Amino acid sequence: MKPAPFEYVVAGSWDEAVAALDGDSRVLAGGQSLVPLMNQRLVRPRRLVDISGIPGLIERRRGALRIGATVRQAALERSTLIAGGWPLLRQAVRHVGHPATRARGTIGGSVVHADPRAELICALIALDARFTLSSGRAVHGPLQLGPGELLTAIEVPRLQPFAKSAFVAYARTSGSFADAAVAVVLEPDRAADAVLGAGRAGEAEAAVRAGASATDAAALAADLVDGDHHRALVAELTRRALVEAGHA
Amino acid sequence: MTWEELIAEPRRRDEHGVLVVLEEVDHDTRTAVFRRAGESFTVRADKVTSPSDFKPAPEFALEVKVLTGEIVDEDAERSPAGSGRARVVAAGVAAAGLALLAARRRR
Amino acid sequence: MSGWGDTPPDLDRPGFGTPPASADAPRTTTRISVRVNGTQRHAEVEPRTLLSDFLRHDLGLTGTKVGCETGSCGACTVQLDGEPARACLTFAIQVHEADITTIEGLPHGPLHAAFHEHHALQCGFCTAGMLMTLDAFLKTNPEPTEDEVKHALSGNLCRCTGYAPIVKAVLER
Ligand code: FES
Ligand code: FES
Repeated sequence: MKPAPFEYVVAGSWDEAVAALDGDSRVLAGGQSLVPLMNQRLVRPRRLVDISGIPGLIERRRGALRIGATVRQAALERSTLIAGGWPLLRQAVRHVGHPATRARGTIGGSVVHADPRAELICALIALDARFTLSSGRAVHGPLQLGPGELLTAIEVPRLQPFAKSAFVAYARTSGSFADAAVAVVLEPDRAADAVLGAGRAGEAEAAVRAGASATDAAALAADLVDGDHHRALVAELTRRALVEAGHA
Repeated sequence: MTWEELIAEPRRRDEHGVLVVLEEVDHDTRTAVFRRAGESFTVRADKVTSPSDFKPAPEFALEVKVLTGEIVDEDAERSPAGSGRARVVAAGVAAAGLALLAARRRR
Repeated sequence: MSGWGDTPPDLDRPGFGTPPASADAPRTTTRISVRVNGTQRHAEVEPRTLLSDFLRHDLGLTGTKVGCETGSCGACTVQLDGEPARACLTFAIQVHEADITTIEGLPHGPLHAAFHEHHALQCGFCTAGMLMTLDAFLKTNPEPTEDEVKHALSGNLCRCTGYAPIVKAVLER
């Protein structure tokens, strides 16, 4: 089993990568989602543009976090900076794949591949992340790339003092995509509640700010999804996440 | 070696052909984390030496920019047994910077 | 010809399950140079050659096993510049100038002995991937808890042992 033939181009910079892209090409970052699809020939690009050599850093400047798109998931997982300032990201990334796939897989790849069940996006949305694109555009909220646009970095604002966060996921086996997951960030004057695949639960957030119990807020979050089983999962996970983040 | 020089090269192979990747840069605390052969090590550039430590001579004006490198064993609490090794690895990569530093200091 | 007969020449034909290859699909090879288990190797590879196939077919290092080629089983795990990596999800062309360790290059040590002692393998198909994953893991976590070991091995499937002996071998090495 092997992929259909393709042409391989290494990009040393974002400009080179954008220039090398055409309609029938794909970007190769960590390859942990793309290569399985290519091996099964579900995807047959004519050209692969390898961006994994473009340096990516986890940086903190004046309290704000910037994660380069080519940062490996494992780097995020072991980062002491992340563990100290944005533990939610560390919790979420541990649910992505396995140690060996995280060693290769990139943050940007996971975000852009945008599987509706990708845990990282859920956590980033709860943290109010901003996505910086190669075109110079910055996107806040759901990410949609235009033609020839690449995600170059993700910016995450500093959390307020005494902020608490929690990421709770339910998956059948470790490493498989979660059936449901919830990311919660509670700050003195802000509550964020993101549900995997469904985005922010605005009503639940308002309820938390208004002092509703975790169980009541969780019921509101469950309204975002369909199906009895899925609703029950989201309600219970939201409740647990709120409790873990210190909201009774 | 200045802080800027330290973080200028995010990916390189050392003389043994081993990949050294700069993974993390904290501009606020001036701490950089490198990854080499499956192990991480942290290099910290302390804030510019306090002026009370030396009498500023004219030719020293530039030297103030020279940073003191300190190797921090960041894995200490996680892996006490690996600390010696991490230190050796860290020393290897930071050696160039520290040697430069020592040379300048002696002058 | 393999024991299974020749591959049908028309596997790519329209309607055979996959769309046809685009007519202008380039088929060039590139020269790569890579250090495998301490030896510098040079070879011509097509861009689509997987690292797992390169190791097994071109270099004859058949210790690295191939189970699923979709990143699910972990049998193909090698170490790429010191980090564990799925050889089936990496193209050989990407490892130009890199440093690779396969099971053939892993020095025999207490972990091997513990696997032997605890019957942590039966057919052995998963073992190379297990050892390569564990070696990288134990470098930074020399004293793991049982949970940490299970987490570290979550990407490695074993259809024989039931995992318990493997976890035990790691803890009692
Ligand atoms: S063969 Fe690579 S993960 Fe199964
Ligand atoms: S020993 Fe047979 S698959 Fe693990």
